Amino acid sequence: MRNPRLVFRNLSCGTNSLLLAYLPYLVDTVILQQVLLPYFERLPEEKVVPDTILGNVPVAHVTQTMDYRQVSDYLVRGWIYLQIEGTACGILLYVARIPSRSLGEAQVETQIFGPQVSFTEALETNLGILQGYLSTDLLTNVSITIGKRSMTNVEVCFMEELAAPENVQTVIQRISDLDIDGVIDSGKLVQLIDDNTFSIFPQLILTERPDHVSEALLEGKVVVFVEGSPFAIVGPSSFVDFFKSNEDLYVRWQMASFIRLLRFSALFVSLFFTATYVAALTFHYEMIPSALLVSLVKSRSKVPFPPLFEALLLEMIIEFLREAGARLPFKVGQTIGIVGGIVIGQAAVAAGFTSNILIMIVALSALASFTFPSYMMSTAVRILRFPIILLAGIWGGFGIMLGASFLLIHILRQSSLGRPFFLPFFPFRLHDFKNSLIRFPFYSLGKRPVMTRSPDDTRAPDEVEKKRPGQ
Amino acid sequence: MKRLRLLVHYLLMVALLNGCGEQQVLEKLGLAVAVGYDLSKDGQLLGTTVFYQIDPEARELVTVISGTAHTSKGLTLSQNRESSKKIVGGQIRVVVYHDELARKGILALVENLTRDASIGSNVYLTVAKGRAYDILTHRYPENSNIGIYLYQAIRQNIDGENMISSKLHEFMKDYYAIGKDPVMPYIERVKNELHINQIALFRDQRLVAEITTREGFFLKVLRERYNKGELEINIALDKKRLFTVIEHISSKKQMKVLDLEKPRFSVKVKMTAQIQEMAEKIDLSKPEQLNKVQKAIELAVKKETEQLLEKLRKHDVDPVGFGEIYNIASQKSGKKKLSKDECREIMKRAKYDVDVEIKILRTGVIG
Repeated sequence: MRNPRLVFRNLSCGTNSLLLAYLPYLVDTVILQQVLLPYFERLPEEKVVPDTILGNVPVAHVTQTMDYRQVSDYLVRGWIYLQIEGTACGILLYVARIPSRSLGEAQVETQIFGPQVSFTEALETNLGILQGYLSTDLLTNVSITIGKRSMTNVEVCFMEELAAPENVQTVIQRISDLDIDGVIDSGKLVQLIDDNTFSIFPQLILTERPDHVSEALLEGKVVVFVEGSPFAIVGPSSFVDFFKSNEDLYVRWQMASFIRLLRFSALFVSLFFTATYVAALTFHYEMIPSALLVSLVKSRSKVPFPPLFEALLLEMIIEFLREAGARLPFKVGQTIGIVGGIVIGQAAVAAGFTSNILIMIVALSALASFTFPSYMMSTAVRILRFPIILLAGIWGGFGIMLGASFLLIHILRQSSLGRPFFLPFFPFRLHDFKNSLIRFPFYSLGKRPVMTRSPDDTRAPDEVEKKRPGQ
Repeated sequence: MKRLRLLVHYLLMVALLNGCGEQQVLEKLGLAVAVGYDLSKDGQLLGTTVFYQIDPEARELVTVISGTAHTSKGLTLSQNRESSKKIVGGQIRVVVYHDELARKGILALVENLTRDASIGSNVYLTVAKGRAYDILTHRYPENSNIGIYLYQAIRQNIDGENMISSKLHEFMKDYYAIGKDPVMPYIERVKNELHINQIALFRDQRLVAEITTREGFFLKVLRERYNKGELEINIALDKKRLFTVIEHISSKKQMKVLDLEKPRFSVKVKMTAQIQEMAEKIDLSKPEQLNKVQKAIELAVKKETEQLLEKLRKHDVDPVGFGEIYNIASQKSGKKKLSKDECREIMKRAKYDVDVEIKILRTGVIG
């Protein structure tokens, strides 16, 4: 260990001479000063053996080591190394104070209703929050350290008896097979362990919500936490899962179903609305309703570009705005909205750059893509819009169909941890349908999803019978 | 490697085939709303096309181009030479035929519309009294675009069940059905207004006669299911004649062949309606009075229906489709399928037993 900040401290207590080594920025100096140092001073005058200290030192985690090469691994995680002169065995004391922030509200996956807390960067905290939701010993972790250089701790969590062993095995296998120097965030890990790297669609859900993770665990899914990442990886996940918000479970089923349907229609609006405009204006003038025709042509009459170019231009502007809003500091970011609104809403039309109707359509499809609970999925959909617009501009409605078929076939071929990605639709599983496009009342959701292949697939047999109407 | 080759194929396809889709950019098109066909003096076709007015700064609100040619596509070609935009027919809503032309037969023109994939089947076909050119080029001070106006006027009347629908596909179906003839609205320009108060009757593809919209009501009842609409009818009640208006009429019809040898049909019409207005004060809350009125209306409807059927036979047209019913019945009894002409011969001898059943559901709140 060549770290110059490494502190060596010699203490002589009576006849004993102790050597302490630690990294000051990782160790809780308050405990060190107020608990450990007084304890060492109170050590008996005669020679002590390591077992004495191991037996009564007022620190929770204590271990001993004979191998000096292990010591540095412990030191970098906030342990204090204690060597008693004249003994061959070193003692390790856990007095870490890893810098971390306190719990906060979910920032990425916001919800109006339900719990607001989100995971933080500290792995221990995250596990603690999770255990708070699921106070059972069935919640099991498997710890893996990955990254030859970063030595990142990864926890694979699952519910014993509920998670299918092969799912757990797949996750563990994929993580331990990684040969990489460092994994800093779960966003990186998820790309390393998913089924198809070449697909634009995410195949495993990243979530910062403990309630989402708990619900997934109860469904028999497997969750991976990465040290330093507030996002947990949840799998196996189907395509439909990316459009489910945990809030759907907290509101009444009619509302939840309406909102789900809204999101799925948003998917189609976001993917195909602008493309339909381009196709209709470039090829299929006969499809435009006559009531819309005059206003459409009037707004187009001043635009010098073909519809395809016009649409791509405006989509690009929207993407610029979105990216600028995401990158700029918070206070400057607000002005972007105003600038964008005025520039796009007024000036672009007045300058004859685009038509009014297209602005509405592009704004609508951008808005629609923000309704998805999964940020990854909404980004994927926004990107996919561009090739579809391009196809619409080249081949019209035929191009849109071509793009849609290509996408559909692609989704059908994907898998998530080896489970079919497009599950309730193909292979068709009626039971999973009840919690997909719409959410049925809970009495009909008495079984765990087929997707997870849970060994115990019954969720609540008694409750199911009780709540069935008419009984 | 295989994947990469596939990707290259896809990209090549996109790159090489992108010229194959024929682009029709909206603002570069002349979108026709209404088309009129006339017979010009030298026997050629005179075509008149009404366009959507696109340019917001143009002084004229409506663009009309006309030309002469031997065929309808020839018309488009000659009209294209006068237009700054490419003339396309995908937004045509109304087609108007000169009645002189219709008397000679319009099948070739109508079929041409069906052959063009961009023209949908929701195009209304109409016959004009006088030249379509005069109707479409006339300046109507109250309407900016005669094409749209005509379309809305026809649609409003058909939706309100005042007029028999004559969309492109309906015309073609009636024409090709053995034992049924098409009909069309008959429009007429009276000064600055368009009137749709007659119905043109066709024998196959030729215009032969017209009936009033009042007769059209009874024809519509026999042709299709009737759902709403109203009728003013003259009834005989206690030896007095008086007028009454019935509304919210809905009717079902049932037609059967009674006799194949001496063609005889039973025509049953079941109607429900409510009385909206009576010219005289009659206490309808008494069931016997209401019954009387009901019987009187039944009688009047029956009489007018019979008159209409007589008129249709006189003109030798069959817009109701009795021939079709006869044909089916005769095939069921093991005879050969009839041809159009055979069917028409048989229908000349047809007799009808008309039976009308009317139920008055309501007589008004205060009546």
